[in-house]
Amino acid sequence: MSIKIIDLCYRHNDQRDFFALKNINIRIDDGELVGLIGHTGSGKSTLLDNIIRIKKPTSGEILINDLNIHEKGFKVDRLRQEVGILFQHSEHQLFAETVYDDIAFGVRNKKMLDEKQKKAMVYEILELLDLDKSILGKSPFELSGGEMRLAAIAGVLIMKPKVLLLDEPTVGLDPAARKRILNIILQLNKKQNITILLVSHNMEEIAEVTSRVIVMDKGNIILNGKPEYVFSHIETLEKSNLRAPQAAYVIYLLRQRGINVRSDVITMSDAKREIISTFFKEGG
Amino acid sequence: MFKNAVFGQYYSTDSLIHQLDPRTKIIGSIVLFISFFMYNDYRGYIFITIVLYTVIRVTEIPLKYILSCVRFVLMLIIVTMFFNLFFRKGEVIFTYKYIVFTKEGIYAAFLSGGRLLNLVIGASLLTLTTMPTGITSGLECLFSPLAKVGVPVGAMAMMISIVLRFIPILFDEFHNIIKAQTVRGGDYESKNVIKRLKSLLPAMLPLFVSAFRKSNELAVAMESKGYQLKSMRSKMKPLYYLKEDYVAFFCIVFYFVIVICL
Repeated sequence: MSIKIIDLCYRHNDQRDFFALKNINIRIDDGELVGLIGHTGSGKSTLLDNIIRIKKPTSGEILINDLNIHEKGFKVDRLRQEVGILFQHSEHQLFAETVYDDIAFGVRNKKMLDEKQKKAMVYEILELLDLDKSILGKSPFELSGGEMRLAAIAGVLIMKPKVLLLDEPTVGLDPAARKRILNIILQLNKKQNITILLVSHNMEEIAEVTSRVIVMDKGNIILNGKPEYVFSHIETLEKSNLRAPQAAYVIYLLRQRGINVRSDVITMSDAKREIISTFFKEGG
Repeated sequence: MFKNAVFGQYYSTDSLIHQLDPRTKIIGSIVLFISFFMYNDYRGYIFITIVLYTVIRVTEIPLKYILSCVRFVLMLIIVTMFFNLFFRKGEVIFTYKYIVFTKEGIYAAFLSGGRLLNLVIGASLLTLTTMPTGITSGLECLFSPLAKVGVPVGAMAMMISIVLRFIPILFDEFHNIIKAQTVRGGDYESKNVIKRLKSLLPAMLPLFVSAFRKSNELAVAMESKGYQLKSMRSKMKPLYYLKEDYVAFFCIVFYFVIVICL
């Protein structure tokens, strides 16, 4: 599913002159994994709210599969089914008595499905996320932080969305859980061809998994392109209170000292390889 | 324009009333409240209304904003006026089919509707012009004599300020939970009231869990900073009476005397 955002402007009801989003134009193609970065208050969450029709744009259009979602007659149910969103600190939004009920919340009212099918769907998601079946009977509040986050993701995935909006899915998790969730994101994108928009403050994460990065600042899009392109604009990023991944800094500083390394390196493993090969070449 | 106005939320301006000592404003509000119940005829009503709107003018808060804050009582006012209008016996002015309009009914409807509206606006004035922390320290000061007879005034003031501080946080969180569940198929936009009420339950649960978690965290944080219930605390912004406060007090007393005389 593709997302097209055309000249989107958004102003909060109680603010006259301040636009939270100014003339946003974005195109996300089917099956893309796009990163969205920007400092706090740059308009990322407002943009997500507009895409899922929680907020209504002041002007402009949002087309999902070429259908304007804010037009009269557009079926919201379909949008809820096809666009899944994981909010910040999603584990705080778990509520049901058992993990099973919580995961199955999205399909509880689906009349075409019987209990058996619903159960099969929950099991399928568990397998996909590599979660143990024993957690299903537990209260969601008994789980560890990482498991809670995964349970929340499962609750979104049960709707079988074709587009996933992830608002800081790894924030506050330990490195192992973080890695696990990133792997799941990659898998969902590659194997199930889900279009993903990933919001994160962790630049390493963005550099590692996304194929395109959009940078927002004060409601505008200031950079939009391949991660290598975006993260080579270190000064622009710093001006908007952001930074590039550590690896990009290392490469940037090396180049400033006249060492001829490739400029499009943004992950640690690539930087390591590039540095070794350059120095090996030069040294020997 | 003011769609998101919340009842009684602090509205910042540089007005004279905003700068008054919270204690003056609390006492003023109490006097205002009592005065609303002291009149029975239109003269008192007109006088009090004029005073109320003059005070609003002085606060420099747009009247539109205040009215949008109190829009939730509109229904109540209409119902009150309706009952007063049609169910009062007295001198008949005119009849339309089965409906009888009496002079007393019309009079009572306007008086009770106006009283209710004034009451709600008057109630919102204190919180509109005073920061929650100001109200708390004002209350603490006013009730401090009670501490001598063993009433835990300090603890109560702390409790009130914590409650006031957490309302917007929990409100935000509630909003986020509703958002998350709407997207997962929760039915909050349904026109069916029962359906909507039913879907509120799953939203309340995480809110309670989070409130308990937050209060626990806060308790630990306060304890680790050495908070003790019985120790004396100094204030970051101590309260002082200024010349303006004495003038305001004089105005309040003057107003009260007139209301009594009316």
